[in-house]
Amino acid sequence: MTEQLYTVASDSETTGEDKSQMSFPDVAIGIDIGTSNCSVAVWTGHQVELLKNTRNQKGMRSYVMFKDDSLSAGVTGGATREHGHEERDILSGSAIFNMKRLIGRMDTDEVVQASKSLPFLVQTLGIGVRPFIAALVNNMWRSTTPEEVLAIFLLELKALVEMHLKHPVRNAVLTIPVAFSRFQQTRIERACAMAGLHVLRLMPEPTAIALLYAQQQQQLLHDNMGSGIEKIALIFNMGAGYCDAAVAATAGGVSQIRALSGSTVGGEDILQNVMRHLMPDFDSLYAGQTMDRIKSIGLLRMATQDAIHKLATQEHVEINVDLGAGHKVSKILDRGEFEKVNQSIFEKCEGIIKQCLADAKLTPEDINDVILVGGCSRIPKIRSVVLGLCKKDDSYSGIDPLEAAVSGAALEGAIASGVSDPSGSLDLLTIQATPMNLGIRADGGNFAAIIPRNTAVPARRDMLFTTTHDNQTEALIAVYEGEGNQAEDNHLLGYFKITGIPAAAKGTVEINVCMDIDAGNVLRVFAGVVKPQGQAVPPFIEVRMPTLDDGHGWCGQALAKMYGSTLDLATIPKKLHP
Amino acid sequence: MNTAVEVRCAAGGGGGVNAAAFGRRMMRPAPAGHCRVIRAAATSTVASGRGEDDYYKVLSLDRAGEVGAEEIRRAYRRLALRYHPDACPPSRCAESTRLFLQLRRAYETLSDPALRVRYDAELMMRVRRPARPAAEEDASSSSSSLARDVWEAQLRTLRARSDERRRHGAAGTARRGRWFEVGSSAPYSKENGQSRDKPNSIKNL
Repeated sequence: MTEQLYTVASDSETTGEDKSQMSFPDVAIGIDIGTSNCSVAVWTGHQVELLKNTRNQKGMRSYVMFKDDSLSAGVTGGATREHGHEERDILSGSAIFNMKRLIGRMDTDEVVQASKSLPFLVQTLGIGVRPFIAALVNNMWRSTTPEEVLAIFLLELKALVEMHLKHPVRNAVLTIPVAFSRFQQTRIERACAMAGLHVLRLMPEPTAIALLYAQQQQQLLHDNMGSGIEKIALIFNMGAGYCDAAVAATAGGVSQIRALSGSTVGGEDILQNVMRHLMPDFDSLYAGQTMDRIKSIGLLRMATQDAIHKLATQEHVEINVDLGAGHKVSKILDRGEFEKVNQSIFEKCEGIIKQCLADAKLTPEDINDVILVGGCSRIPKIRSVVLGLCKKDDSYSGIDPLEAAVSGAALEGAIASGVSDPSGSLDLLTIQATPMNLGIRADGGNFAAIIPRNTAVPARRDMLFTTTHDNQTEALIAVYEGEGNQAEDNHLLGYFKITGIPAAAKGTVEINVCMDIDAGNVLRVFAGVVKPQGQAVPPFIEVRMPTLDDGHGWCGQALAKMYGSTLDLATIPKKLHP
Repeated sequence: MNTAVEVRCAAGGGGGVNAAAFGRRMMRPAPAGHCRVIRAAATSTVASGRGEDDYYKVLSLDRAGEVGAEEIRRAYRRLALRYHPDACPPSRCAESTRLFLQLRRAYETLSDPALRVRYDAELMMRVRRPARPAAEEDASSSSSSLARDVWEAQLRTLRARSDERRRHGAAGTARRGRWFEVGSSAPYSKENGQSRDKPNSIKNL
């Protein structure tokens, strides 16, 4: 009965309007913006096709080159027409890359701190504001933002697609890392909007792969080769910037995501570890972002990258690089040493998979297929770690590790755009799950999860809270996302006040907080007083999250300083459901 | 197949009691239709008052039959393909979201052995005393009998589980969910089957 109060509100016009604006037959394209490489794919009517750029590449380097008055992105190979020089130009300080790692992060974030060793300028103050990012143009640092860089890139990508399809495109499905916060997701949406793209869905990368897997299983069934029995797949995706894992249960074209976990470790960390290993005193040799440093760091980066690629197939590799000004690196790096240097990264990968299996309540024996995707899946140690944990001899072979995510995104684009195939090849579905707990601050500084992680999306859950002081008339709803038990350990998404609570003894008022995630992954929070009832009670409040424009940082502290515990709430144990 | 998409979601756009709208939808012959009974019912007063339907009907399963875990999963997936907002045109987004949430709630309850036992017991109670207000005087006796039923069913489930484990222990086939097919569904669905024909609890649409 109480549910009615907000069920009505949740079917709000905003949802209807958002959706009706989309021109229906327009099929959304699939985009995989990787930290290092990008690709784009479209549903051509009977299959997914990856588009190639003018240089015949399916995977395009993710960067934007800043020159005098022109900007050019990696889609068309803006750095240079000559392929061999591209990498050197990218590392010249004039190009911004790794935007996916920087986007939506504050300067206290360790990922931003680690990005300071990149050739372009990343300046931090360490106080919880946006970092200052700049590219070198005519020996001057010209400022930009990760959103802007991404938007320029997407604009070029959009032009490429329109050239191929010969009609304008508007809607897109993008893949994102599991570890992306909701705040980072809004940044991606903003970048897309700047490029004239409407985001139909943001799909965690492994779930896009799960959709592709569901399609392949259906295909097998059509060819009378599959059994139709539910198959459990563990999907492990590791690219340059992020690492994700998911467990999906697939049958009948439906992939149910049972668990998701992810972390901000990737090839970039491996690269930096090896660079530091090759030249431990780099930072002391080159202080400040001087031209010498930029040049040396570029050379070292290229040599290291090359060595890591070779180590995927070779037991050892010889590195010989002259960094100029008398600094040289010459070393033979073998696989054992490489693995030792990156041990902490492999351990993190292990942790992600273990958590995923535990969340899905599965043992390695329950897994039918292990799907390894992403650039780092070529690293032998990563393969052995993942396969070892899943007790498998080999990984699933039907999926291209570099094209899987974008293909899944294009499939989802077609499905979510309402395209249907007469042969039934689009009767597919990935039922998404929430990657992180969503909840509010309650019981002092604690975090009360209202929608626990790995809840199927769309989701709607509610919880009852009560006041902590006698005659408390106002309460603060501070919405957080994350895994910490303390509210402050999580991302603050936003906050609002419930006012006009009827005066009563503490613990007697009941306040219902309901969280709703719709199919487009939009989070809405509804809150209001449900006991006592009557005319004296204020109406419910609906707030779309996140409301904060700039991550967490200061807001939580400011709120605590201003109000202390006067607006606190406490949890009421939920009545048991049948 | 664009038209088929429209058909899928065409019914019941005007809100109303969501449970009833959902039930009416179930009257359509399912295209994949391998589930046995699609016998939609008007919700009992208790159920509609609480805003939820009979979970078995939400999944278009026949409670009288012995519904196994695999069957529940299959029904859930089949209906998810029809009601998930991704599978419906954007104009039906709000409606399909609501239907999917309902489907999800039903599936979460019935796919969890412990929750299902409790739910089955509660469902029996609803059938036994369908009239809402008369419940006061025998509340204590019925609630204790509910508790006993639940307890017995749980014991039975546990016993079946340990039997199953013992049988499969050596062979090492620790397939999840299997014990529960053996354990909980059979005795309950039989009793439900007997009381199913009471006219005031379930009627045909």
